[in-house]
Amino acid sequence: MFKKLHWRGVFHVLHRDLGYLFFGATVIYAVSGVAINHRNDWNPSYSIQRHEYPLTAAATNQPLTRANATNLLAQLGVVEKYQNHYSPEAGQVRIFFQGGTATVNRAAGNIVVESVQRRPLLYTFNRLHYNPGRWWTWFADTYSVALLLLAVTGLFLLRGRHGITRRGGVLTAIGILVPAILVYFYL
Amino acid sequence: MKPTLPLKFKLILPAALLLTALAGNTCLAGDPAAATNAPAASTNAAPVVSVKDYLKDPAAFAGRQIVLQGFVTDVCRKKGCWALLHDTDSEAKGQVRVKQDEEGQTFKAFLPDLLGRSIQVDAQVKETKIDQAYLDKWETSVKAAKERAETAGGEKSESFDTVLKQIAEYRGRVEKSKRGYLSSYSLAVSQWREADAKN
Repeated sequence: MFKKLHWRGVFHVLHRDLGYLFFGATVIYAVSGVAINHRNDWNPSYSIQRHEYPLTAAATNQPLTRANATNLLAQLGVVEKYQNHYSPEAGQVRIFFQGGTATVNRAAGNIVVESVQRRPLLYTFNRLHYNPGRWWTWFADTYSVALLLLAVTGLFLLRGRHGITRRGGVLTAIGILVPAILVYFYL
Repeated sequence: MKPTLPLKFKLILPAALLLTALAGNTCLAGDPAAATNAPAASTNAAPVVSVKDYLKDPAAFAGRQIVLQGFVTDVCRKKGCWALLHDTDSEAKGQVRVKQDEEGQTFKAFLPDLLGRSIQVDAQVKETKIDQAYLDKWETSVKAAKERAETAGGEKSESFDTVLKQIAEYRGRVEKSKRGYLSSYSLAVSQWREADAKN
């Protein structure tokens, strides 16, 4: 039945339908791609609020019991529930509460409270980008094949002065040359 | 005349079938992440061991499957493939590093949200025997890496010298040991769940 079809028509329909089908995946990878690309400048998945307080009397109790740790959190204005605490090194105690930590630094004379919150949407996008499981591997592989098809079919959608033989060809060449130049100079 | 479907349906149909087939495969294979999402009791007969008890004598658990219980103090930020566990007794000393079993299919990543939470991990205690042959192999690889780094003018050779010193120190300890080898223990985690601890 496909004998009657012109290959350009097939490419057009493939390009259109795959574009629709994988619009969602493209948004996920594009947004998380930018977020993860700049992970040296920020935490792409979590928003971290940091506050520093002077050491209080409750924090100097040794050993710091669970009751003391809970009181200390209350004094610091932390309303979230106490979870656990331990001493990572001499003179330091880290208290975990739901959604953050309070670190008592006896030598430095301060308490650092860090509240950690998942960034809405970005957290999920980034988790998907890093491949959370086999089910996503299947989907991502399918998306990769679709992306290749989108790229190839996209080259041949138009004819004439905007087609691959003229303007399209020049732009495609630029698109290949730019990464090639970067590879040559920086890798 | 035989009725034919419009072209767009002819092409959308295979695409939809492809996606359905993939979805079907995924379901058949099972969703490992979802499978371990819900807190669940350990179904095997492995003993529940606290971090404190494990650290007292890891050799006692060598080659065994255990359920290690503790709270999370740190995790692998890149892939969630390891976690540091502390005993639920805050005053206890020491931590245990547990790592994803590379052969495991049901492992769910350790996420930063787990920090401070008490968990139970199903783990196989693996013993690595550090004998002279092990150290020979290690030394050869470090020397080769040092040579490559020096040729390339990259990493400072002092860091390699530190490792070589450590290897020499191990040699001394192996020679002194009665068994002729030292043991290093690691915990390979197949899955984990949140524990009903004090929080």
